Amino acid sequence: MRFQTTKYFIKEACINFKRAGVMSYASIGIITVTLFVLSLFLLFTTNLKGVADLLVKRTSVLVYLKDKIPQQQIIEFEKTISEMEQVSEVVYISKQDALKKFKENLGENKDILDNLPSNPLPNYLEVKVKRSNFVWDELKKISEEIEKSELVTEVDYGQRVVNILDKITYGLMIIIVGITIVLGLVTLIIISNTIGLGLFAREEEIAIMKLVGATNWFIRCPALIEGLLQGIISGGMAIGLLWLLYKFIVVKLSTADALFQLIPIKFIPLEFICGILLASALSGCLGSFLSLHYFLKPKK
Amino acid sequence: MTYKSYKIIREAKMIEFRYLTKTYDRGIRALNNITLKIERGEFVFLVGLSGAGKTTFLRMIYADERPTSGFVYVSSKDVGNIPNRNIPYLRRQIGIVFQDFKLLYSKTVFENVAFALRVIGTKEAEVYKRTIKALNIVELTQKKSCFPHELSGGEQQRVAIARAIINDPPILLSDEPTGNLDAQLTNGIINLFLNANEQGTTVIIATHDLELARRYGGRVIHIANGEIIQ
Repeated sequence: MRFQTTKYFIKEACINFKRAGVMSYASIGIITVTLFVLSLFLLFTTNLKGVADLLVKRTSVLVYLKDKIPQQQIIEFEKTISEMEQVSEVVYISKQDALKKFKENLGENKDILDNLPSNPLPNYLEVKVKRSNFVWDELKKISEEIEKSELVTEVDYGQRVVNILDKITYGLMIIIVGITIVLGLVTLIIISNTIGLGLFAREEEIAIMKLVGATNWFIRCPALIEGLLQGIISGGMAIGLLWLLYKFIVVKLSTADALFQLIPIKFIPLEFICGILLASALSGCLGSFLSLHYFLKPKK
Repeated sequence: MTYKSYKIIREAKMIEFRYLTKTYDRGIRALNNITLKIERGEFVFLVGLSGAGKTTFLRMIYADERPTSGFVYVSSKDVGNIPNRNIPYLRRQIGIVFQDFKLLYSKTVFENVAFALRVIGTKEAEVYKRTIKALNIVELTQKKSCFPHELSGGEQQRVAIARAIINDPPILLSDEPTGNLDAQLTNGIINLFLNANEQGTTVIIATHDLELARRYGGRVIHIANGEIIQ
């Protein structure tokens, strides 16, 4: 496409945008709100994952061993585990140590353990994991690897917590996908209506363009750019609003309880920001395209 | 290339209708079994009362309507079956002056005339040169920055003519160009068409005014109830 034609399209798009006046701003406002609601959910999910990671990061993997394993074998097994990539430290705790620890925990009531015929507690290894972005997956991988060993009776890496959080996140993801689809459609309808109204006002102009030999794409382009403009502006404003809200929350939390200060509140990642902008720009274009269909359909 | 395949060659047989019938929805028959030829460089008056089918006749030529049956050829091309995507390329070669002018009221006189060039992607320097030339022909250079609503009916008509002739089209169509004008203005307008005709352009003027056709000579086609009479 020639530079001059492109310039003409952009100029026309800006003129039409201005001419639509209040309608343009109203539609940007509505689309901004819809996108803002959507990005709010994204912010929530982003940070829910953060909380989950935080919880999991504080647990380590407990490997319960079978009884009567020769000391030498345990030492070798300990070595194998500590050589695994994500493992930072392995501590061996024997039956006796475990019982001692248990007794200490019981304090004054420790006597109740005195009558035990034998020590019921197993030997176990406490495996600490390096911090990484994929704590859940890493923990699961390590645990499964360790579980393969014949020496092991059970591996506990906080499956229950992980599973519950997993389910919550999964459920939220489905809700968010659903909401995204609905809000996406709403955005599409709003943009298509606004630009459609503008086009109705210019119906005569479009008819004249066709009569003097303008191709459909020549008529479409300025409207598509107009939709793109509305989409991008709305997307940018929604992200801007979200940023302000985020800053507000961070400031509020930094003065709140110590518990909240432990949770690192993150802004939505760059991929989501790009995604929101791209989606809003595309729905702007698509909205225009749909509303133009009425004006450009050929006569029978 | 699409443009070349719909290039109107200035050949002897410019427009031909063959057994052409156009029936609108609800069975209104606008044109009935019309067969005629218009040769290159002819100056034709299409005369008939309003509702006789004049406008439909013109619309057939620039593919704004399709025949219900029969054929319409422009420069030997079957325009009745032209693919939709090629219609713009046909229209760029036909100048049309509409009964209601069809000017863009938000654009100046200059922009209205230049519009016909811009939509086909003409370079800006060329647009300026040719627009000024066309405005010169219709004697409206002084008013190039005015908006249509600041002009009289006759002046608006001339803007429409400037837009129609700017591409130097082989065919010029005009629907009731002198409808609301007094004799002197009518004379000026018809002279513009005659000048174009002298350059080799085929001109068809639809009018209800038989007197006008008699005054300026040229071929007269009578149309009544969608049929050619005489």
